[in-house]
This record gives sequence, structure tokens and C-alpha cells, in this order.
Amino acid sequence: MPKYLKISFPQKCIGCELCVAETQRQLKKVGLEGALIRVFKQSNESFGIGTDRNFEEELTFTIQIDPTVNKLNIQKIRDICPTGVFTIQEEEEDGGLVS
Amino acid sequence: MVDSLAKHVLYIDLSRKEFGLKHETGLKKYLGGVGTGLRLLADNLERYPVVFSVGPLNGFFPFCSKTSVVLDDNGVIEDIYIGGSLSSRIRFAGLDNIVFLGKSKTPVTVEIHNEQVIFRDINIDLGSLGLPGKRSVLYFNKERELFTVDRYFSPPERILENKLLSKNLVNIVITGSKTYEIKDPEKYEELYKKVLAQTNQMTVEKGSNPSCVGCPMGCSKSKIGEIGGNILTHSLVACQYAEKIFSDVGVTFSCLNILGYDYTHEDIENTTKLIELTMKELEQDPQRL
Repeated sequence: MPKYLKISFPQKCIGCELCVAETQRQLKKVGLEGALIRVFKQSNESFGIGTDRNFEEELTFTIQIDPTVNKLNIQKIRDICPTGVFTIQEEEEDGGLVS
Repeated sequence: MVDSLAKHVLYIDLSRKEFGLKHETGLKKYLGGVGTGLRLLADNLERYPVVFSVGPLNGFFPFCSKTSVVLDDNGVIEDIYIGGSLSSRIRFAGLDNIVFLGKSKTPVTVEIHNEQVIFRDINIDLGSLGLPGKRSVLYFNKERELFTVDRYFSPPERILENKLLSKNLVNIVITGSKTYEIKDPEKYEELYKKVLAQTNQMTVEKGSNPSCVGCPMGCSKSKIGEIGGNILTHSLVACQYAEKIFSDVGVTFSCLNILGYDYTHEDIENTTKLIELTMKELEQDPQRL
């Protein structure tokens, strides 16, 4: 059964982007352009306007995965995350999922 | 591939609202970070400079996660270090240094995308600038009266705040969208994982806090930046808590070598002396006296 990378614990993400770097390394490059995993700081990334940029200093992250990442070595991607954000799951033939 | 022969320096003139990229071959021997920063400070002293710098390993190796800022604070040369995503975005913008010169007539937001610069009003929504996921935002938080990177990481002691606000520079948004190829990707991965495995050499506890890009520690210390410290560590612009890892010249040499830099062991060992000489030159500069 095909396996795929799942973001099981997004709340654990600390924004280190080691997963992004691992994915890019597997594609033989270093950088962010064309990355199959993207890490965003806070979901709305709203900063307000003017000099009154006063808001809570709480930084959280959201992660997006391009499904083509599953053609890479996803075990390495899962294992490099220091906080265990990702799991690997198996896809059943009828489209259902098993963990 | 990295440019092993020159440092890519983006000069931003706030007075004239002009910018330009120069490939500075003379900076190579200064390695990076505080070394190149001090040299650029000395070379541009009459233009009221603030120099942001990364080192040759930023963006490429774990724990090389800080950005160096060098400035003249009313006669005292200061080197401070900020965490977050800033250093990786400067690296992926294809830059080694950003030199802010002069003073803007009005408060300004500077948007940098690779080597291009747009001067913008401070009332623009910063969230509309740059590319999400590939940008870093340094903005002035009025309530806390400090600059903040990524809404979380701040420089220490409010030295940078005083300097940048005196230049009317209120916000910086930088996007890096360049990629690098490594000549020997297998050896690079091997070395990358070897460095990453040395978390036991870090002098800070692991945590679940927001982490600097390229660092797995999630420590509680990096929220506030660093000031002064080990010259080699700060030439590489590695985290001060990774000093044990990068004070091993063999490790540092291997990391530089795999990226294509042709530094020798002697070059690395001589960096400290070269920086001390630059500091003396700065201290004796009549423009500062």
C-alpha cells in the first residue's frame, strides 16, 4: 500500500524549517523556491498598519504539503522534525486510510 | 553554487532612496558576519551605516541561524545578533550583507526581494509585502518599543531600535527566493546530519518555543538576541549556544569546503586577528573621534 506523509501534530511545529531543508536536499537544492513543504508564520500573517503595530507576541505556524512530496523519502522528512509533527500513513486501495 | 570569490553586498541609501548590489572581493578574507560587518562599517563610516550580515554557512547548516548587525552607537561599536528567519531569508536573497546608509527624510518601510529594493510608506500593510513562507519581517512594535522579527525574536538592549529609528527606518521586509546547488550533495547531506546530531554540544536546553530557522532546539533563550561574544562564532553567525560545535576548526573547515569556499585552516584561524585590527582601525578613525 502506498504511504504518505501526514501533518498529524501541527501545533507542535516550532518553525525550524528542517523539514523544508530536508525536502529540498532530496531535490538536490538549498533554498525555499519550489519547496514541497512550506511553513507559514501564523495563519493570517496580518501585521496591521502604520506605527501602531501592537499585537500579541504569540507566534504559531501552519504547514502546507505538496502531495508530490510523497515521491521523496518521507521517512527522512518525518524523522528530521525535532518535535514529531509528521507521521507516515498508509493509503488503502479503496481510497480509505489506515494509520 | 555559492560565490566563493566575493561577498554580495546590497547597499541601500535611505537619504537618496537608491540601492545597488556590489560583489566585494576584498571582503572574502573576513569570512562573514561580524568580520564583514566591521569592514563595511569602517569603509562607509561617513555615511552613517548600519550593516546586517550573514555568514558563509547561514541557510546551509544547522545552528547557523542568527543575523549580525554592526553599528556605531554614539561612539561605541556594537555587534548584535538576531534570531528567527531573517538570516535564511538574507541568504536565499543571494546576499551576504545589507548596508543601510544615510537617513530617510520621512519614516520608511524597506521591502527587499532578492537584490531589488522598494521604498514604501510605513502605513502599508506589511502582510501584503513579500512572499509568505519566503519572507522575514522586521518591524517596530510601538507598544514594546522594540524591533521584532517574525513577531517574536528581538535584538538585545534596544541599541538597534535607537539607531534604525534615528534613520527613520521603521520596517524591513525581506524575501529570498533563490536556490543553490551543491556540487556533492551526498557529502553535504552527510555533513549536515553530522552537525545536526550534535545537539548534545549545545549549551541551551531543548524546548517547545518558536525556533530560529535551521535550529531544532526550540529554546527559550533565542527570543532576545545576543551582543558581543566569540569572534569565530559570530563571523559564521552561528548561535552563541553552538559555540562548542563551530569552535572546532575542523568542522567549520569541512562545512565551508563542501559548499565550495576555498578557505584554508589558516584563513579561519586568522579571522580573529583580522577583526581585531579592523576594530583598532575603527577606534582610531578620526571620523568617529
